[in-house]
Amino acid sequence: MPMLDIKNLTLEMVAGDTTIKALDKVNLTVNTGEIRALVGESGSGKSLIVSAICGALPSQWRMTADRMSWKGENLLSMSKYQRREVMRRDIAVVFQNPQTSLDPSATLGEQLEESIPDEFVEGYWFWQRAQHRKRIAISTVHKVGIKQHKHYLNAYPHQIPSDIGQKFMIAMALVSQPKLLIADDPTRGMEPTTKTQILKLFTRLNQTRSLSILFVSHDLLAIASMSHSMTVLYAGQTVESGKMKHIKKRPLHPYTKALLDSAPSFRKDLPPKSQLPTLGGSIPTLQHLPIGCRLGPRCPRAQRACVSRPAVRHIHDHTYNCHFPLHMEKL
Amino acid sequence: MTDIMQVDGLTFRHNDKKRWLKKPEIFELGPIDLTVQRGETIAIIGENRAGKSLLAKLLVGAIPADEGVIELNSHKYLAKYNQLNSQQKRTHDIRMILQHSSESMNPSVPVGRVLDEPLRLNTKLTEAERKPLIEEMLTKVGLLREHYYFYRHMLSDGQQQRVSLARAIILRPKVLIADEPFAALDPSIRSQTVNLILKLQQEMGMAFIFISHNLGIVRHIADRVIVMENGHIVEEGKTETIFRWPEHAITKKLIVAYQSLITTNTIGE
Repeated sequence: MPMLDIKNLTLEMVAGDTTIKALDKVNLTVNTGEIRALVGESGSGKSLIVSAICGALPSQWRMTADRMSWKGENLLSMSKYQRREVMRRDIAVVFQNPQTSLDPSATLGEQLEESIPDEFVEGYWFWQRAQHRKRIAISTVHKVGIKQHKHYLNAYPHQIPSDIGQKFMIAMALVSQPKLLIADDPTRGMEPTTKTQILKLFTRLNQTRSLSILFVSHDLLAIASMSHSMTVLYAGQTVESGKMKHIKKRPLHPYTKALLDSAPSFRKDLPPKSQLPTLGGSIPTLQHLPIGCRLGPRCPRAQRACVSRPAVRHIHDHTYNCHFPLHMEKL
Repeated sequence: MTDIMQVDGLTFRHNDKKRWLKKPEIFELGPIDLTVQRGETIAIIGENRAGKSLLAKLLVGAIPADEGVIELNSHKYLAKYNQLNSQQKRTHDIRMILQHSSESMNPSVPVGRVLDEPLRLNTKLTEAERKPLIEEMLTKVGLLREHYYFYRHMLSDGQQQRVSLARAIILRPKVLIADEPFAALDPSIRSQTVNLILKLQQEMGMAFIFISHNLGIVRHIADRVIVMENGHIVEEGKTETIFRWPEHAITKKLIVAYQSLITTNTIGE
């Protein structure tokens, strides 16, 4: 059963007399107890989807969607109050840049204790409650792998290195015991050891508490090692989505193939220092989006039909948007 | 193979002055000994705060070291002194790509001026000679001649990376040093940059030293790997040797972390 279900999400920005379609009919579902990866390059609208789910879009964006539901409840028609309640108790978000999304004027400990819901705190008198709050904070911080809690709980955001900040954001998200965790590029700029630590933590939470995770990133190695299914975005369009296993074995869209090829670790047969296969050109900017399939100008298989937008096609639970997919003869 | 750069006993000490009731913070880098051969690619890996970026900056001379000798092309520099004329020779031979290529470019001057600056400061070429050289460099890194007149904000991430690469190689250095050149780039642009660097290295025969967290790329392009911890080189060797038979605890930790990502991948199939 899908927990979070988004269908045909379109985001437009009115700039002068033109409208820019930053997201074009994006589909995304997250099932219960699933780790879903959302992959795409910068400017593909990953973070926009995240803020659309949170309801934190700036007012100049115009959002339309056929369906956007959370456990069967419609998020679009909800009142502000109900929406906030869902966001507070069920969905937690780890934002991209810890240094800018933490409050610079409060210590990390204060911020973490503030985000503990009142129901979790035991004790009648205020000092008992304060003590319990602190104990919860310390144990959460230990859980994400920060050992010197005394030092970091009393530090301000500018005093900590960015990987600690990242872990702290994860701790703040987990403290309210959410059902769905949305992690927006949580392993960016981390060294391999810390990265595996965080990924292991996510996998463990997913297995023990059946926490669903929407993992937004472009680090394919991390994604491939932990997620069950994957949705690939390119320039605001969903390109392909399905089970990780199937996509990795047989990508149908040329862009997915290019993404998988770009990580040299996936391929054992690649001789060292050889040229990596790439797509030519660069990611289009929002002002100059190509019509039809947005990969068109960079795609090696592009043909005349690609100027019209490809419809969503299904093979079992594997969906793709391409006129001329790869590997069709094998299926 | 000939040695192109030799580093002996490079040391750097940082200590805060002792203040009332505050322990002084001491960080010591080195002593570091290193030889670099012509056309070689060396990767520096290690955890955060191991002094990787600092080592890169010391090698270029952006930060003066406390002790040590750098011998470049049979020309000796004392790393401690930043004398102007030796500095100029050194900027010719070692160049660096900074961590955030987009932030390291001046936003208020066009790309042409950005590339003109190292030439104007370090060579005696006239303006008429410099311009064709810049245009040649732009085409070499895969940009167009028209990009001479572009400003920073008009370029995409990958193009900015190309400009900073052009700025680094425009003086035809013997050694190119890069601090996390691939970290901020998207996957498809990253492979383009890797390809470009491999190609340029073959053409110009320069040595390339880079810092990276991405062990997949390290394994792909590096000849030798240096592992650092707490300001010291703890292990050094051929890439395959390091990846297959890591010896030091830190190296093992890094390699195991990397391998665990890969093996879970192959099991998943």
